[in-house]
Amino acid sequence: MTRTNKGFISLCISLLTLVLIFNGCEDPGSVGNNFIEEPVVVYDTLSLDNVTSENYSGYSGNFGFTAIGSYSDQTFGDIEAMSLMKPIREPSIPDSLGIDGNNFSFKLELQLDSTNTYGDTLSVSEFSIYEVTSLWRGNSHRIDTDVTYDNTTEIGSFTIGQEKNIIVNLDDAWKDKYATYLNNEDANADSLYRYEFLGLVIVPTGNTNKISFPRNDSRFLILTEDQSDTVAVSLSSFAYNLDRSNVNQSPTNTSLHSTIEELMKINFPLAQIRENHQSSNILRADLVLYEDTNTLSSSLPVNHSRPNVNFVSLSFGVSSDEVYEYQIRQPNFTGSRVSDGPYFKADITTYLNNILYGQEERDEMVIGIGSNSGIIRSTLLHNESASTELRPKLIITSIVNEDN
Amino acid sequence: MKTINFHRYFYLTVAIFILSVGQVFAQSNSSSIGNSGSFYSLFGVGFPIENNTARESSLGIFGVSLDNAQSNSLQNPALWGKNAFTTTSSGFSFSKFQSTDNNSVSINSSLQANYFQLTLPILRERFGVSASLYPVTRSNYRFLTTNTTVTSENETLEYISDAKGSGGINKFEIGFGWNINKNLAIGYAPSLVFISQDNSRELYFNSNEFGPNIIDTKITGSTFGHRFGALLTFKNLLRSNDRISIGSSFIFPINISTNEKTISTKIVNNQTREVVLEESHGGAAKLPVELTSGLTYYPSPLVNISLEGKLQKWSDAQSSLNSANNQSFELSDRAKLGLGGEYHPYKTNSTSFLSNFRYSAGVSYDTGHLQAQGQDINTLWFSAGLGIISPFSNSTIDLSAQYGLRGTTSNNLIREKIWAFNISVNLSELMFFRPKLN
Repeated sequence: MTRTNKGFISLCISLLTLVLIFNGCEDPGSVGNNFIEEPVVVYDTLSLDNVTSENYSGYSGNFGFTAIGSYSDQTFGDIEAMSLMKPIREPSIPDSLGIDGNNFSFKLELQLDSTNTYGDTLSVSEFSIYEVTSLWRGNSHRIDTDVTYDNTTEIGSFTIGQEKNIIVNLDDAWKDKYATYLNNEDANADSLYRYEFLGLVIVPTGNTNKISFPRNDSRFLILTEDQSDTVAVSLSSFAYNLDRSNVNQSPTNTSLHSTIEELMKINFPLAQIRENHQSSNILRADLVLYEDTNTLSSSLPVNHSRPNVNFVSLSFGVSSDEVYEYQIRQPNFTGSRVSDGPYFKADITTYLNNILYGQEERDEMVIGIGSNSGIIRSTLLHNESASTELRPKLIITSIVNEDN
Repeated sequence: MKTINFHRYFYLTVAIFILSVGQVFAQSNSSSIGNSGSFYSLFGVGFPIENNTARESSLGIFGVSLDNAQSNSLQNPALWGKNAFTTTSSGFSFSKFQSTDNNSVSINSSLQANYFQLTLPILRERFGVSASLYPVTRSNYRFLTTNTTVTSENETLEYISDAKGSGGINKFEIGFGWNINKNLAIGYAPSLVFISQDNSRELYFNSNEFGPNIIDTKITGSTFGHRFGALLTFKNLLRSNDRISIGSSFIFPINISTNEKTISTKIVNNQTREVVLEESHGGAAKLPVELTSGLTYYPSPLVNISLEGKLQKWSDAQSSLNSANNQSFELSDRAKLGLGGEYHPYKTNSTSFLSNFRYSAGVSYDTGHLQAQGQDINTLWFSAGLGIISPFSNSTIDLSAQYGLRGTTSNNLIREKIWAFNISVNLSELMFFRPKLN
């Protein structure tokens, strides 16, 4: 290779190395930022005044919990909950236990939720147990499904104080009736059991002033004659009925119940949103719902409690199968309580994007606390009749440029 | 013959490699790669670009009077009539900007392909045509800032803003040059002038409640432009074998009707897609009337000296795009004057390594097209360069290094120190026909 070529190649290599090193060094900073348009976060608040209430009877069967008791809530009315339970027909009974025919005793073991009690937590509640006389199904049971029971013959009774586990002796006559189905080996035994043996109902009596929540792992117990061995009989079906009366509610408020007896429906002004924000550089959109914490807290005496509400669900309005949609189905959006604050906030940015850019025409949003847990929860939201600052509102956060 | 082929392939390989690296870097938008430049490119339709070859840059001049039959130039259409060889050329620049105000320092760097030109001598040294694609203005600013705001819940929200600009006005030009006689050549070049500018801003918040916010403003538009050039050449004027060239080019003002579209990325109907936030038509991007003139004196074949100047009447180019930005700056008429000289030792019969190159140096002063508080944003450039001449063809690779001082920190303005490296690849007849003689 000639001297010229060597020199040329060296030059090229040096040049390329210089380029790569030179190009990699960048530290863009803030010099001159006082000459550029500063991004400014702005908040546009839209008061939502088209608010109505909707009322339904929610499902209450085969959830995580059932409810028993009664409570007079100054805000949400007089509430009475009675629970229906039915054991499975064929528990696994080892032959070695010697259980044959009806030579066993039958009990009900209630496992109560240790977290939630609705009402006077220090009170003692009283219950009677009766045989159900009408057909019911856990999966389709609602809080107002008609139930009849034989209140002339008490199957059992018990009280609930501070304990969380209660075992109740059940009447032998009802046990004998169950035993006939337990021992029935006919082909139609299941069918007969389903339609003829209807379970029991736990009804609050006396001066009961709280509602307790038995878990779904509550069970029946078969005990051998000598009481030395126990066989667990799980629940095949369970549900509760709820009756609410004497509700005294301010017109500026809307109640929300986990049993969806009341829901709040908001109609969004789609045309107004499109007109005002079609060109906005939207960062976020929040639906803000204010809770009437004053009423809620002032109406709860010392040692009384309500299961707390930390979330609200937002579902688009539907015209069929509303109860399932609003209570069971996953909501379209969820709002959460803001740092123990007096309001719930739901991020509905995608809904707003759909309105502005996706031909979204659904304008009804149903707000509730529908749940399939079985715990009875209620809260109180300010509605369109409340003072302006407490009404439901849409807060649109966007970015605008501002000259320095 | 094998030696000739080796050198051709070598030059070609180097050219393709550099071109590839340049294009790859130029296309990248990654923030990790230096792709930003002068702060002052923020304003209007960007900062005016000098599409000089590295040779012209190193001389500190534009090249309207740099008469060279062996290589092409964008600067004066009249020069195309004097071309002897089919030539293709392209240029790349690597620039580093150190911006300073009274409080802080930012460093930006830019690597970009500048121009591409093909000239064909229809009649050798009589009539030639040129096709070229080159930028006229460039936006390549970038600001990275941290700031705070207060949310509707009175919580402090911190955010990082990354504002970037890219693109600008470009020209696709096809023109001709006619060498009328030994003293006069003229040229005309109509062009399609189009703007493609992208200003973006990304915001990142320190709260999970706020996702990244990215908006892009795209400005597009096109129109036609016209450029004329003339070159006067006189020989044996002051001494025997000397030569003087006087060149001039004139560009008519341009008014581009623009469309401006602001888009953002949103989740709509469960899909991530770009949405149009704002769209406007009938905006204006203006380029001013421009006159460039100069002379180059060749006292001998080994030396030439050039003095050239440019005037642009930017004060007549106020437009909606310019006024959209900060009012602290306004357009002002621009004048640039350059002086440089060249030495060609490769034309001697010396066998030393240093005699294989062409050397050049120059200085220029640019009053700039921006004014702030009555003060011109001027630039002083010092430049030097090296030309690598193929001993077997007319192809060249030119390198230049420039150091510039732009603006001032007085009145809270910005001062920039600029280091720029340019490379031009000039391939003459390499791909078109085999020389019959060495």
